[in-house]
Parts: sequence; structure tokens; C-alpha cells
Amino acid sequence: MRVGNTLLCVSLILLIITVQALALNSPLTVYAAGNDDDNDKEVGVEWVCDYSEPGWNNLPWSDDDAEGFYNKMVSEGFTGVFDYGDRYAWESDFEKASVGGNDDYYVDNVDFVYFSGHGNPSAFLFGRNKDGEYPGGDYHYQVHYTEADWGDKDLEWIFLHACKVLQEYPTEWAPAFHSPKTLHGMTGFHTESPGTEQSSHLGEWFAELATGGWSIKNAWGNATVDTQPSWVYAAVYAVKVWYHPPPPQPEFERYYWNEHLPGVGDGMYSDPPNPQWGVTITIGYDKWPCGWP
Amino acid sequence: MNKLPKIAFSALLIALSVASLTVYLSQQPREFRIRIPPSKGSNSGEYITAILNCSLPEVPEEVPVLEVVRHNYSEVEAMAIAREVFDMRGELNITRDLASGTISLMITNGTQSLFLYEDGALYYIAGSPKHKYDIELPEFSQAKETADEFVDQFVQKAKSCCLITSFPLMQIKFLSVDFSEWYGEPPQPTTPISIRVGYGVMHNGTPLIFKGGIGVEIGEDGEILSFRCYWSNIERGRPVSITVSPQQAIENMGSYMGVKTSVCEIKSLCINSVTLGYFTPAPPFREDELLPAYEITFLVILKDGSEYDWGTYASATSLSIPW
Repeated sequence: MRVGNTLLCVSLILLIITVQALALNSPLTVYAAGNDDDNDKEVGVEWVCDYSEPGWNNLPWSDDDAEGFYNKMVSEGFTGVFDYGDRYAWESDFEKASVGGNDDYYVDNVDFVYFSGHGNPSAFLFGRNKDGEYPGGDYHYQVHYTEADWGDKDLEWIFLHACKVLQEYPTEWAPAFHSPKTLHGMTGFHTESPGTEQSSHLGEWFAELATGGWSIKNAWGNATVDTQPSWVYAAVYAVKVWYHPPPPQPEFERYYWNEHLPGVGDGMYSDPPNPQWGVTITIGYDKWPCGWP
Repeated sequence: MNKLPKIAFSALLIALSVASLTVYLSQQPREFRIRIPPSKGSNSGEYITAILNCSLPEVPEEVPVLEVVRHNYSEVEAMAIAREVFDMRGELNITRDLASGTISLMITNGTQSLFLYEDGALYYIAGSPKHKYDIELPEFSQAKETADEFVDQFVQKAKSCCLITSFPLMQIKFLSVDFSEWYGEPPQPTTPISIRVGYGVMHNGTPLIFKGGIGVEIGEDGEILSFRCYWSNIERGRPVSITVSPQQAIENMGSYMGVKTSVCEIKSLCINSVTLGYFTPAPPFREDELLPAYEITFLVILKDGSEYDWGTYASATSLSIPW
């Protein structure tokens, strides 16, 4: 009997250890709400005014735009971690390690990032060639969608004041949300956005609204309507989770663009759940013209 | 015999008409060379060709600036506006100086919200679009009828409670009806989820351009979702001379047209409209005076054959506008 009891105890201990080890190493690991630290209010911005090296149009208002966002967020109690512009704004800060980037130390080491500069449907663009040169990472002067993998460490939202990055359906940028999805969303533009004084109010006004009680989508929506001319279309990508457990448990949907900044309203949602039966996870897309009328 | 002088006189009149038309058309250049200022690292600017696809406006020698009239609404006034103009019932909560003082007041009852600015501009929210595919939006004509009725009632109520004091100076004109938001989940295509009916606000026939208009957002089953009224209480101010002609505004627009596309990628521009108006930023960025400016809309044609709609604003006077 004693031998049997001992064997049973050892088996139970082994089972517990095995389950714990599997849980820790399984791809279904639950992330701790996308936070790698106790501070869920860290902010970083990067901006590019000077595109003379690659030969693209300069954008004299990018610094006002991004630093307007940064200063407003810091004044509202958020922690400013980095504010890099022109020759200090590096594409590798946004790129995953597997392509030679350092996002773990910069963009994915804070909760909210704002970028102001040029963009296109596949990438957002920089004025210096500071690329990760590992295989697959040689897209010079740009963060290409294949080089992005965010939220696996700390990032929740990335706000892009750059033309057309959100022009297409979120298919191309979907891998940037990590797998399983940890990035909550991206805001940006479906069309071009002008490089003008009014347009440069976007960063500060968005931060004003988002810290003043508006959800992230509504803050981006209203800030773009107030600062962009009528021919510009803004857009947002965000995770949508549809919980559909077996009856009688109720179904419900959670759109991550309805979440608020930490400390505002209901605050943020926890990271999206792991893929599992009864849960469907997609990336929703919303776009709107900025003209009223 | 008497017919000859009549025929000759008629021929003379026709010739004069043709000559006048020719002179008029020759005064309206159809093609402009727009200089793009040099960027850092290059010594000389570049040029883009712009084709004029519209007539240019005749502009007066001088116009008054419009002075923005602000009023610090008391809580009693704000509550009265919320109740009487927007039929907001129940307990109303008021927040003053939301967003660092840029919004004067926010009034909410939990389901409706009203943002009231000091110059009479406002933003009313009664709901938000539903993010789903099986949405029943009204026809555009129905949406316009609903919006027209809402705006008419709003104007009558706003007059009666002194929300807008400068009505004798202002006129409202329907501009457009179109979808105002699209939703999508891959791989399904995007679908429209709300409609916006837009109105222009004019001062003595001159529009408030950029952000001076009115918009009504309509959702499922014709429900009014929001109403953005970005006009302003105004008074006529000092006269200013129009020192920049429409032609000059087009020729100089390279330095402020805000197009981010590289000049080397642009083949040409096709100018579709040039309008003289008052440059009117959104209420949070509105200055004390609204100044005369041109709104120039155009098609950007790229060398790869693609094209997109764009536009810009240019001061019509020696004073700069915050575009």
C-alpha cells in the first residue's frame, strides 16, 4: 500500500510539473495583458521632418505633430520613454529581432507609440538608413509590414500619422499583431494626409481627446475630422473577439477600438485570448472621410 | 437695298462677340507652371504643370474679415440649450473646460452628449454606427429629408434660445450626401454603416471653408447619430484688400499644397475648383478672425497612371492663414 501511495504521489507531482512546464512553453501561453512591467502608461514617439537623404519631400511639421502627442500624454501622467526625431529616428527601433531589429528595446518596450512621417500601403518611412540587415530585413529607409511583430512584449497601440499605411484591408499588417494576437490596434490613414500646420495638430488633439474620456477609436476619429481636410480618409485596425460559447452561456463581441487609455473611463481590455474553441478572433477595419461636411 | 447695312451691322456684332470671348478666354490661362520650392539638399526647385478645368472666380477688391464672437456659456444656459434644442432629458451632468479649456462645456445625460464651444459651434452625439454587415441604411434621398428636417428644427430652436446670434449674416446651403463610415472584417468586403448629409455655411454668399460647415450623421433605420455644427458666431470686422488673385494663388500653391507625394512622381495636376471663402479651422483651433482664402481642389495625376483627389488653401490677402 505504501509503495502504491508513494507512486501515486510521485505521479501526481510529475503530472503537475509536466502541466506547468507545458503551460509555460505552449504556444497557447496567456500573456500578462501585454505588459512586461508594472507601468502600463509608457509612451514613445518617432518623427521625421528631414527626408533629404532618401530624396523624398521634407515634412516640416512632423516634429510638432509627434511632440504634441508626447507632451500632452506626459502632462496627463503618462511616462515619456523616448522622443526620437530625424537622424535619431531609426527604422530598426520598430523591427523584430529576426530581421535584425530592436523593437524589444524601443517600440515594443512601451505601451503606446506615435509615428509622424511618410508612408505607403506597405510601410512607413524614415530619413536615415538604419535597417536590420538580417535576411528578410533589407527594406531600406522603411518599416515594411513583414518586419513588424508587435505586442509580444509591451506595445498595445501604434498610432501612425503617415499616408496610406492603413489603405488596404488589414491582411498584410495582420502578422504585426503577433500570433496569438497581442497588439490591440493600429490607427492611421486610408489616403494621403497633408503635411501642413492644421494637420500637425493631430497628435496633440488626439492625446487631448483620448486622455479626456474618449475611446481610442472615437478620439482618433474626432481628431482626424477636426484636423484633416475633407479629401482625406482616416482608418483604424483593431482586434475583434467574438465569444460564442455553448448555450446557455451568452455570446458577446469585444471591439478593441472601444477601449480607453489606462486610467480613462473603463481603461484597457486585457490582451485578446488565445485561439480556442468558442472564440473567434479577427482584425476589424473601419475608415471614414475627415470632412464635415 | 436696305438689307445690306443690317447684315453688315449683324456681322460686326458677331465679330465683336467672338473677339470679346477670345479675349476673355485668353485672360483665363488654361495651363499653369507651379514651382515646388527646393527641399533641403537640392539647389533648385522643380515645376509641375496644372491644367485648369474650371472657371476662376471674380473677386472683389476688398472684403471684411469675420470676427469670432465668443461667449462663456453659464451652466444654466448650457442646460437650456441641451434641453430645448436637443431634447436631452433626465439628469444632465456638465463638465467645464474639457480638454484643457479647448471645449467650453460638455453636457451629458448618459445616452446623449453635447459639446458646446464658446463661439457657438457644437457637436451633438446621440449614438454611434453599428459595426455589422446586415445594416439597414436609408436611401440617400430619405437621409437628406431626415437631415433637412433636423437642421430646420435646430435652426429655429437655436434662434429662439440665442445659441447663434449672427443669423442675419449667415446662410445654410445643402452640399452633399454620402457614406460617412465603412466597416469590414477580412475577407468580406467593407460595407457602409452610416451616411453623412453635409451643409455649407455662407457669410453674405461667401462660404466658411475647411471646417466651417454642418454635418448630420445618420445610421440604421434613419436614426440621427450625431450632428456637427462647426459654424461660428461672427461679426463683420475691418475690411481687407484681396491682394492675391486666383491665378496667383494657383501659381504659388506649390509651397503650401501639402501633397506628400514626391514631385518626381507627379505628372500633372488638374484643377477642378477655385473658391473664395473664409478659412475656418475646427473650433479647437479657431483664431479670433476668419480671413479670406481660396480653396483649390484638384486631381493629382501620377506618372504611373494613378490619380487621386486633393486640395489646398491659400490666403487671398497679405495676411497668412493657419493652413
